Amino acid sequence: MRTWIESKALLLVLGMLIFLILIPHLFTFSSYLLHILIMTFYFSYLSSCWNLLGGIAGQHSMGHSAFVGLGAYSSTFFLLKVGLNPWIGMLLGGMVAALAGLFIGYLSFRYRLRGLYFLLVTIAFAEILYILFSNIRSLGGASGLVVPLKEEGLINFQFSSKVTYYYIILAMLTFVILFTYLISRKRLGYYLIAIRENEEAARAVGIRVIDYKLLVTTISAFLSALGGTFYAQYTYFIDPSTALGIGLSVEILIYPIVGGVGTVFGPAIGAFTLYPLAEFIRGILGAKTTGAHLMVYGVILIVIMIFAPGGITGLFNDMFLVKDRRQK
Amino acid sequence: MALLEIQDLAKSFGGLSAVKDLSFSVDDGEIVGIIGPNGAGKTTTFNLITGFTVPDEGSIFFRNQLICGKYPEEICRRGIFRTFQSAQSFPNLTVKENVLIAAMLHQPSLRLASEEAEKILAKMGMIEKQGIKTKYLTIPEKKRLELTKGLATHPKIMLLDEVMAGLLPMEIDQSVQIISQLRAEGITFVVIEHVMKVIMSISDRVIVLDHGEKIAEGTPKEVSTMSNVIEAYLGGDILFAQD
Repeated sequence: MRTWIESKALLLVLGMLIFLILIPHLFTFSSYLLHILIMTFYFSYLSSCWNLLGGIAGQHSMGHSAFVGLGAYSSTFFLLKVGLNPWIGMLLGGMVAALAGLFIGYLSFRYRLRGLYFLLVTIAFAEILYILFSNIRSLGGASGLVVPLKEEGLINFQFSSKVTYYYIILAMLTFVILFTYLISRKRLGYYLIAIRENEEAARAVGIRVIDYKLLVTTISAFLSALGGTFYAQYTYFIDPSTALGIGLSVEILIYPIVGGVGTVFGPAIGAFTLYPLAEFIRGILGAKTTGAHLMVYGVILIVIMIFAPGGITGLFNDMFLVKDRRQK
Repeated sequence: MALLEIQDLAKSFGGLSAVKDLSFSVDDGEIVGIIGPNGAGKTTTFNLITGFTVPDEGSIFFRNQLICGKYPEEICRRGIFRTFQSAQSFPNLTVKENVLIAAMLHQPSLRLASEEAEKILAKMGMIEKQGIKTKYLTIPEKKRLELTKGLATHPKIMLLDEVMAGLLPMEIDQSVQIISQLRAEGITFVVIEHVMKVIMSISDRVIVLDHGEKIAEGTPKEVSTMSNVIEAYLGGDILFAQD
């Protein structure tokens, strides 16, 4: 029974992926629609990266913008100063963010901070970076950095067609979802879930909790930073508020909560539901009454959380899949 | 030297001394019972041994190695497993997954860990519960699961914190049987228990704690007749009807 469901799910996911690969060729999208798709994928990607740490391992970070920003700033800064290739800059940014993750992870986990205390540490770290980057002139200060235009092409990570960006972020999203799926059935995944479920019980069966938490923080930070570089290369512009601000951290957090924290597809489902919806409402209401679209968005969020407290995946599971049964 | 050697252990919480000058040892293959009134420092002693609490003073040796100040996970890896007074599990995972996670400690692959988990579940009579999420287990089942998880970590010594509390007489008999069987397989036990029948029947030696100090030590029979033990349990100035 279970394998039947799993094979159906696999077919569904493969079908979805093929559909997503084909749609730029099947339909002619306006540049605006394609932009919405790319940004939806972008947030699905970031939220899935957050989900590794916040969902699977249960260490809720509210400062993931710090990692995204470090990625975006590293690649852009070195591109501007020494003409470093953005792809290498992307890896470099990932490593910078990984080190930052290791640093705040070590500080927090070594001193047994978790739950809300870990959340506060991550907010504080992101805010420190935000203020720091807003005031360092060589990093553009509050007005940000502009990515210099180079010759178009894969090598320079610059394309005139949005379709190429679409495929890059689709590949990145596919990778992180696949990664999440694979570790969730390996030792690493089991250990991270054990830590989320009950840290004391995990220690009592010999799991080196600090090491595993540090490992997943580093991975999550590294992958988030790659997203930051993508964003910089896509929009050609970064500033502290879009790349490091708390607004970004909250947005990264909202999609998994709505979609299903700790599930493989939850963050993407959340982003696919909310991001286009928000854009749609903004399109209708944004021009008429300033701020009205945010109120509607807020109401929709509240309604979703009332009817699907476990996220959309939780709702789906309750309705169609395995009931949370007492007996096998 | 004994398997587990505890010397001059002390721990106080904000001026309140929970354990004071505690020394005792546990030999290989023994079952040692720890009894004492509420707040005597029994659970604190377990927390100190297993690294969940760091002692203020004193030292703990396991197999001649100092384990004081090590993390709980390192102490488990050396072969000491402890159960918690209120049984701890991974509530949203199934019984099988709970044991599987514990079994991964010594098994190189998921498949081998899974096989071992099934073997241990069968041995502990929990195999038919394997698909149930542990948050739905009854308290006796949760306690049994902790013991099962513990076995999967290949312990040399198990510290059991009130695993019999709340069990039916029949279940107590079962548990006693299991412990005796595991002892025969080479596992040493330190047992905190309020069920006197159990302590008296399975312990080779009993240690009595009161206000964080060891007030008596001896065979169950010896301890049960010591006047200071009776005093600690029932208060002073009590006349006993002699039988």
